[in-house]
Amino acid sequence: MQKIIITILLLVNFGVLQGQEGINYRPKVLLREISKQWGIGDPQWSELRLPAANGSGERIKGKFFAVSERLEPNNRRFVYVGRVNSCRGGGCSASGEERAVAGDFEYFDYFILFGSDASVQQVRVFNYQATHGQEITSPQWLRQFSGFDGTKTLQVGGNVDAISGATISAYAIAGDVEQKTKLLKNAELPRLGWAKE
Amino acid sequence: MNMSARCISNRLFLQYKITPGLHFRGGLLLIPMGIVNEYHEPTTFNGVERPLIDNIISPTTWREIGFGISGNLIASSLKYQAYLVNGFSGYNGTAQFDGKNGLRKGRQKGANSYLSAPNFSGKVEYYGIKGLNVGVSGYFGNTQSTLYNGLSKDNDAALAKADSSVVGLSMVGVDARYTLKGVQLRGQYYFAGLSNTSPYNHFTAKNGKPNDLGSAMTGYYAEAAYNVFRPLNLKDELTPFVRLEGYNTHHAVAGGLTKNKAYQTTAITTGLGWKPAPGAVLKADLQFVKPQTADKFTTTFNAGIGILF
Repeated sequence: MQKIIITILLLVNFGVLQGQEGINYRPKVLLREISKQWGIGDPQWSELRLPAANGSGERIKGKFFAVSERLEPNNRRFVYVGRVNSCRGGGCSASGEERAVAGDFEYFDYFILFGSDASVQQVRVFNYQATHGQEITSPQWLRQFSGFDGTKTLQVGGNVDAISGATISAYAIAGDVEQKTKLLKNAELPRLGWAKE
Repeated sequence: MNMSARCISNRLFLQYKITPGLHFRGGLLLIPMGIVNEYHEPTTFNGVERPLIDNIISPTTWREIGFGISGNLIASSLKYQAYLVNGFSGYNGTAQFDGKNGLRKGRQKGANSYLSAPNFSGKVEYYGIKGLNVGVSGYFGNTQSTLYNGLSKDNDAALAKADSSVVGLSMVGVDARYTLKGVQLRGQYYFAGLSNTSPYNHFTAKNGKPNDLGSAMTGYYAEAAYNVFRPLNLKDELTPFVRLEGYNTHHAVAGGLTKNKAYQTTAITTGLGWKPAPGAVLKADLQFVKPQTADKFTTTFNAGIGILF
């Protein structure tokens, strides 16, 4: 049994060092929801090139896209597809290389559909790789983000219902939805001259 | 001179993604039984102490060496886990189980574990309804015994002796958690059926008196809590709670053993938890415990600080 334990420890080390795989920016469920929610069957994608620092110096693990029907290029909606580390094992309080090893195996990928005014229409998690907190992938729970327009703060236990056993993931996704919504609405759309009055 | 080094961990495993919904796991695994074993950090449960049934029947923190598969089927809102693990140590020169302590002393916890028969552990959870998580857990197998170490298959007497030192365990757990705004409800039920307890009790007799391990154990709790700060729009949480629980390690007995009513216990726990931040909690509670043989409840005051880091 001791030999087995040693082998497992070596495997753990190897496994952690493998790191994360890339984000799928076109998951099937996203294409399906764009078709279902917006009636766009043949979307034209245009990535919004974000400035490197975004004012906060935080590296963003995701991309914003403007999406429109090919025949209606000026009728844009917006999509964010990104990754959130759910920060167990000290992953998000660690720094640099330590963070990359400690935190990067606990993550989930999700998307936000934004209307043309940059308010949230839908949030869906399509790849959940954290060990706990899977309850946040429930579409019923995610529905409470619909209508969020970045003017308030999202507070788990307040205007966002807490989930027993999924505290870390609930805080992580609420914080990310708020940050990305505010970024799109207050920084990116005005910068591109697309902000609606 | 004997020297040993020890690293205490409650989980340490490799997780390898085969597909997004299918992972291989191997290493020191938390047994997916009930609620508290996997969510045992003090910020995740009410009360200073864990529920009594998560001490006696599901002996948290219950972790063993093993491997298996797990994953989330997001479209169906299902999580599954299925593992083969080394089982409880039922006999390692002395008996590890009895009626009073249930299965608690049998945990091997990874370090220096030994294996004579693999056990199966599995759980399925459904979380498709907002705020609700319902789980069904199962654990099946024979306990381990050091008497099988180096045993010759031709030695019938030694084999019979070793066979008397193990029990078969079939444990089923059903649990539910529900959160709606400031209301938190949770409930848990365990049934553990044990086979071969009569030979085990006689084999592990002390001073001619047979051991008293029951052939079935049951336990339950139901808990309600409410975050009274929620309507006030405060970031802190102040959560009074009440929990009713009961267990019986002599739900059934075999081989002429008489049920000991002292092993049938009821407990009521009520208290407060204050979370100034998501990763920190201050707790205080009163626990009233009464075995069926006692006339009145004994009262214990508990207070504690919990930090998740």
